[in-house]
Amino acid sequence: MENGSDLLEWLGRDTSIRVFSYLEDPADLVRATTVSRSWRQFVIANGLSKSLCTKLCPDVSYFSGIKEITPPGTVQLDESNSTTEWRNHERDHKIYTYINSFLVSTEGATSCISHCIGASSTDHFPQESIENTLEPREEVDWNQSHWSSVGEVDPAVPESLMYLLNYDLAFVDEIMIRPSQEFFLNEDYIYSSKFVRFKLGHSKLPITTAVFNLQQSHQIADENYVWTYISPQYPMEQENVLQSFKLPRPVLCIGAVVKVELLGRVVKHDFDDLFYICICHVQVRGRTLLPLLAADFSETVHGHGGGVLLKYNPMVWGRTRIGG
Amino acid sequence: MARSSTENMITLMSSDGEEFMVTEKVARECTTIRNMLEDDCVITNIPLPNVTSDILSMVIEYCMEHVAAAEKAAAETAEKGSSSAPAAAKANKDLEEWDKAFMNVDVYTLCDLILAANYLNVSGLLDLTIQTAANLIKGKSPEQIRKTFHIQNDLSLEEEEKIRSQTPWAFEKSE
Repeated sequence: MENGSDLLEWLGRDTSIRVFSYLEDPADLVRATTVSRSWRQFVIANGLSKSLCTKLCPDVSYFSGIKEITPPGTVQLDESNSTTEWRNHERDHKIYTYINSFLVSTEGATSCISHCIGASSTDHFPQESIENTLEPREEVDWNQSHWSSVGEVDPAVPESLMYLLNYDLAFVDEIMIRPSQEFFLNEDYIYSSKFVRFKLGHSKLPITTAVFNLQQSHQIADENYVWTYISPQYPMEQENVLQSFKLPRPVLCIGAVVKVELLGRVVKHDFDDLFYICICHVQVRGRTLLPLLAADFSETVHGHGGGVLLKYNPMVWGRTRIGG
Repeated sequence: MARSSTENMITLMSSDGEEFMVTEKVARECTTIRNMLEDDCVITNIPLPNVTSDILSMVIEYCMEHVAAAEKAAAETAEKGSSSAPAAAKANKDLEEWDKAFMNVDVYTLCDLILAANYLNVSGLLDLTIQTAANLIKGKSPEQIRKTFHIQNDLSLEEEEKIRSQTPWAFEKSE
């Protein structure tokens, strides 16, 4: 600028922050850090990557802090407070730039359900267990492979299926559901629900997969979970295809639990005149932030949630590109 | 512009001593001045030591245009009893076009306008100028940003290369 002074100096800190707050693409912020040393310091020292991340992905504000894993044998450096402060700013900038990179594109999403936690009801257990929804095929060994609710007189009675993901911390982009079709007395029935809704979060109790009893519906009760995200309601088609429900934005699932709520029944079975929901296959598509970042629940107050830390492992940094 | 003869006139004085006579209505577009007038209603001469005459004349131009647009819209509503949606949309669009043309300034003027809009607290102008400045960064390569804002690159080649190699996704789409 004039007399060699920089835009940032010219406008002052607060007004410059305002200019930067109009940037919505994480790539703009990263590019700004390569303009000059003062621009780089400005973006990092004012935590602009974190501000943008919090705006684009409010889920991150659920973390109460960052826990950095220090390599064994690390010597505490004797450094000034300002050096430590700057190092923390740089660390936060790296972390939030990494998270932001997941918001730029949804490339690389994979199927990431690890276990079934349970279903609100099951008609015939184990033939019609929720376990079957992990299998994409409609039939396995000439037997129909699906989960079926119990029949209800009232079509408004909801059902839900709950799953555990492979990773404590993952972006979920899309959930795919295929309702089950049945051929009965010369008629085709597709047991979809009217609507679906998704809840993402974590269990209030430590989860050990060994204790899942898929027949017991109480372990999926909402009171045992903290939902850090609840999706809008999506209409479901009464069509025997794998239907895609894209979340409005990539959502950070903190704690690996995904609940699929099936709202409203469509089809009555002629056999007993009751409404059923039957699901052939469920897929949760997402991307993990491991090994660089994980969720740390060790300091959460038992049964209350909160106090979840974002665990950062700087030792893998050199091996991880920030996204891409 | 319809102006009643009894309307108060205010004199604004720029840092370089130039005087600008404006209606009180136009002056009130600046929240900073509005507050002064509310504190002391007989004030007629306001020195603005932080704003040069070039920039002050532009701020006044902006305020006059926006006051005139608001008055025109109010007059139409009064005449027809209600505002017609297409006419209001057209007026809005015209004003947007005017704003856009008004922002066709060099980067120094833009920055001075931001500072003046901030100091005088003209919220519409502040939003407009800040958005314009942000647009000079959005989607642009670091080299283009340096050129726009006349910035010397003092990062070493290694430092720049390191950032680029860690975040290649940020450099794929810039113009």
